[in-house]
Amino acid sequence: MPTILGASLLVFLILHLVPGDPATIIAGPTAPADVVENIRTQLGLDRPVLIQYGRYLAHALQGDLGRSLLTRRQVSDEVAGAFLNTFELVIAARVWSLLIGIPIGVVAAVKRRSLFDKLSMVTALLGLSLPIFWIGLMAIWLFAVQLGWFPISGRGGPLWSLAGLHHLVLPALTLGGVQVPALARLTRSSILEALGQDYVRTARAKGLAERLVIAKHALRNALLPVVTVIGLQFAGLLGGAVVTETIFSWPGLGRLAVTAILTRDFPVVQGTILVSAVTFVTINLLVDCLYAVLDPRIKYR
Amino acid sequence: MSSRTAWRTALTLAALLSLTGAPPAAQAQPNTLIIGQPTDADSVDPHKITAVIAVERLYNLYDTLVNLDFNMETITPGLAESWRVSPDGKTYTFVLKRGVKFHSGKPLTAQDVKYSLDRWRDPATASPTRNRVAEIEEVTAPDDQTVVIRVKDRSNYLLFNLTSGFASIVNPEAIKKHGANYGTLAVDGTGPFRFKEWVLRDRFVVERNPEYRWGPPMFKNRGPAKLERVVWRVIPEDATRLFELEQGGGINVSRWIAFSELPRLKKDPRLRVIDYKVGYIVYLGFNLNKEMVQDIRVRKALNHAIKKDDIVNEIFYGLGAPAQGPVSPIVAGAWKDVAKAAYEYNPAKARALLDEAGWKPGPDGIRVKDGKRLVLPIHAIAGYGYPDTLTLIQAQCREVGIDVEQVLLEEAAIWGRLAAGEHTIMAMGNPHSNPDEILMFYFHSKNRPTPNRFGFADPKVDALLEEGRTNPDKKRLLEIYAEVQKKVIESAVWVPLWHPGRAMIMSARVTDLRPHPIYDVGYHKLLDVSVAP
Repeated sequence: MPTILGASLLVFLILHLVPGDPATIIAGPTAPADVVENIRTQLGLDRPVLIQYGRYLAHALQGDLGRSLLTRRQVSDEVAGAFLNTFELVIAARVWSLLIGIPIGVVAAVKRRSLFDKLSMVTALLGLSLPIFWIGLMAIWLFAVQLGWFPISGRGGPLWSLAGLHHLVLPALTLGGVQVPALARLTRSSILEALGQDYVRTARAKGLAERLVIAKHALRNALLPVVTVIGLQFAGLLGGAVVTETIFSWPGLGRLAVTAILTRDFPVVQGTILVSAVTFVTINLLVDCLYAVLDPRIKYR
Repeated sequence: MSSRTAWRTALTLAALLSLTGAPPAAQAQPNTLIIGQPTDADSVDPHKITAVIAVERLYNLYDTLVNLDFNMETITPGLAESWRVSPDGKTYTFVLKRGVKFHSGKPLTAQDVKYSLDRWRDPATASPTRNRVAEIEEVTAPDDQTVVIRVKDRSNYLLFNLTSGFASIVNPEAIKKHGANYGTLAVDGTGPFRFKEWVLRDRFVVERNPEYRWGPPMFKNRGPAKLERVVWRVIPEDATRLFELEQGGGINVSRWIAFSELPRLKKDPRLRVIDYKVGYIVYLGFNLNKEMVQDIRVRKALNHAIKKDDIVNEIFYGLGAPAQGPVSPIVAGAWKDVAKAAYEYNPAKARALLDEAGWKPGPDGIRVKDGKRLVLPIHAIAGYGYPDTLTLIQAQCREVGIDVEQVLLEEAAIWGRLAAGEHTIMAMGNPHSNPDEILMFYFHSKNRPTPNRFGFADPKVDALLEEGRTNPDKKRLLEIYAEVQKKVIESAVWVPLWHPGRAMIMSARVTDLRPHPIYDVGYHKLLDVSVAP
């Protein structure tokens, strides 16, 4: 709760310190001063900043996030819709990047210095250095334009519809794709470290099959730093999906936030910060719980 | 599930998805026009918006009392089948068409028209375009079919302003019922298309209004529309938009394609490119309150130093024309002899003017006077081609010894800084359908500090502009506006840069889509348009 309140106040103050006025955006370039002033008054933008924030907070605590200054829509509706779109994209990207990234890292570590190891690590390095917009555009060109397997862009429909799912594939592939190299490299080094530990030697000395040694002893211990990074990346993805969202015309939270910041749409910016902060805190909590599952020595009191 | 079965399931799923080729929701439907644009509109409440991308939707959801023909001059009927102006020019009487109904089924009455215009004018509505009807004194509805508008003074532009999308007639019941949600979640107009669905920043869908029979005579088809539905799709990335248009069929028309692609697209048999002109001017404006540009010779020197052809050809791929004066030549009332007063590209003349003004070349080529370097900052929005334009101008001005500094700002920040008079020079552009719309806004002294951001004040110009609003004599009007344009050019308060052109790029299967230059919207009512399968 203090984290969320702090984030909200900080963002509010920063937005008001940066020059810019939503009333002038609404009014457009040719409006005379009195028209701009009238808009400002009608929207309550002429009141002192702290009073504006106080009013906002009072309403927000009662569950009313207000309305967008530009679209006049309920902020809760705008943010919820955008959040669900992004969440779905991030989950899909996360799942497939885990399914690919961790196994690659494990195999590369176990077959250290093999051709697979070298090849995958060079590819990973390449993947890490390629910008996401390039990967996205290439994915569109290859899978949508040349092969025609997937639509080029857009939301298509709701997630549960075939069209929605069909439209999800390419952006999720792109967003997840850029996560794979970091994950694979981290898993590899983490496993390598674990493989040098005493408990692995003990397990091997017990005569355990190598497969079990890797899966039960090395991997489980190696996953701790990986889980931390996954948690951090996840939060980053929520805001960092903006490039992917732009390329694939995905109506998500990142694009909503950028538009709102550019137009100084204060209530909407606050709304996006609020959900981002809540998600961040929740995911950190989940990661902490996961630690305890992975490593019984970690206990929370 | 073993890992092998998991893989198999995943692969099958992927294959299924790609084979069924589940089409995008909009694209599979027949006779659907899908328009691609980079951003979404905020609302389709006519009294809450100014954006071009919203106004093109307004024309299709609503009707206006009167319409502006494609020739940008003739006023044609709309919801009003006829109108009459009293001899003193202060009373307009409109007779409404019969049988017009809102999408909700409610018949249109004169009361609805009165409500719409009053709502537009009411300060409580906070309409950003309210000043367009500031001249209206009173709107009355003596009976269901008659609307009477009384204006404060004779007005040459009332009818023009009533053709704008902001003058759309709304259903008062819908506005009262939906309150703040009107314009985003609910819309009720009399237009050729009905509001269907709006997924913000993704798509805006309207469907044909089968009862529509009251289209304006400037269209071949008076209704109902030939199209089944129209979808406005938001595609922020240029490359993606181009892919969708060229390959995907995910959109079949766009006005927002990078100009650099046009030469190639014009050769593509699957596409049709329509170049067209709009009433628009991009200019540099001097802030006469700033000492550095108070000497007219400095302002004239800039006028001679800038090669406008290069801006048009090198940055905008030849789409558009260099500007000689402040008013677009396609607008009725543009000064025919503007070339006589215009400043030609002539760097030698620019140098001579600067020499004369006492600015002598310094050691690095930049001119100096009393120990001060000739550094001129130009404020502009960091987008819409301004950064490239300013870079070119910077290079051209350096040739004559002027150091141009770029001050690029985001849109939310720039208006406030200009209103505060921070700028020495500003680069800006504006659409206009008549000379008043540009000259009155920018050059009447009462409009300082905004939108007259130049500190320009000339009592003669003020008087002429006021006469231009009220004098009914067409011939005299041309003289008035010619005089104002001449004075503006002579005072060198602007460097008129160029009149941008536009291109509408569509699939060859789209027929009878004719761009309308009003307010730079491109799409007026899409009554004649059809899309072949």
